[in-house]
Amino acid sequence: MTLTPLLRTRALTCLERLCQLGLLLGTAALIYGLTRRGWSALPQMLLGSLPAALALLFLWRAARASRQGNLSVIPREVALAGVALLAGQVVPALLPLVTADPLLLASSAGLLVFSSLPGVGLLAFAAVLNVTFQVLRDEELTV
Amino acid sequence: MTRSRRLLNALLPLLIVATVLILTVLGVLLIGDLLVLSYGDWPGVLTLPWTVVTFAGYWFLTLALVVAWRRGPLCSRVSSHLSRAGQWLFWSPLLLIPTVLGLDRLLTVRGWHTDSSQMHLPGESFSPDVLLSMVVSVTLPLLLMALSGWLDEGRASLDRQRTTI
Repeated sequence: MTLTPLLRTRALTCLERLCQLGLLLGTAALIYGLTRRGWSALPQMLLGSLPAALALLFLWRAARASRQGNLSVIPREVALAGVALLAGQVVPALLPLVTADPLLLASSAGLLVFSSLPGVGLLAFAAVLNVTFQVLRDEELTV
Repeated sequence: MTRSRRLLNALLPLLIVATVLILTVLGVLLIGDLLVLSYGDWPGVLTLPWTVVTFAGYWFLTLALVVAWRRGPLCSRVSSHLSRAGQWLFWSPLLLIPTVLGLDRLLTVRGWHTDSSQMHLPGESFSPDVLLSMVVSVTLPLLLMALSGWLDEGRASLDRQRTTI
């Protein structure tokens, strides 16, 4: 096995375990938070952690699909993870629109450029995977 | 041109602008760190490793994005830059924890903290949204490394197809 497939396999295995660990730790933190702050904090905590939890879930499914060799599923799962992260960043950043405070609006627009990078990056990632897998499929058809 | 290629062509300039902005901010931080360090003050030492590692990661990421925009994602330099970016950025969130803890302690020692600005880190970092965001920020560099592997495989496949033709 050459270096690149080895690096990719290791990264994907690590990613799969990390996603599982993250989801477990997130659940534990949610229970810990509930015991400290009470049930009234549940909706706020769920809303805050839902985008990252969904992103981890989709990334876990993508890594598992990659291990199983199911290439067609991977770009879709990565794109879904990107949409989840983007929704988690864009919705809170649009809230100042309601208040229409120009200073808040400018600061949230600036923050949005930085914070939307992971979500937009994952969408571009999915597009690159689609292009790459198309090339691999073309080779299979040619053979 | 396929739909994925069109989407990629639309997203790459956005990503390049965002990463260049982040690189600029990190560059200013790096210069600030070095200036503070030259005065023999502690915060520079605390934040310098994180700033250097993150700057290097974003530097390689920006290079990969620019090359992908100009020459296409299957160029050999894209995968090598992405792999390096993934390896640098993997350490960035891991270094952030001791950096924030160190800065918090330093600010407390110097008495610059007010009650409202204090971070209360153990409780804060154990809240599910912060914890999950941290795990996501560790997983994304791993994805970059995996992507560089896929790109190498795609390029090799393209080379084989050209040779066959």
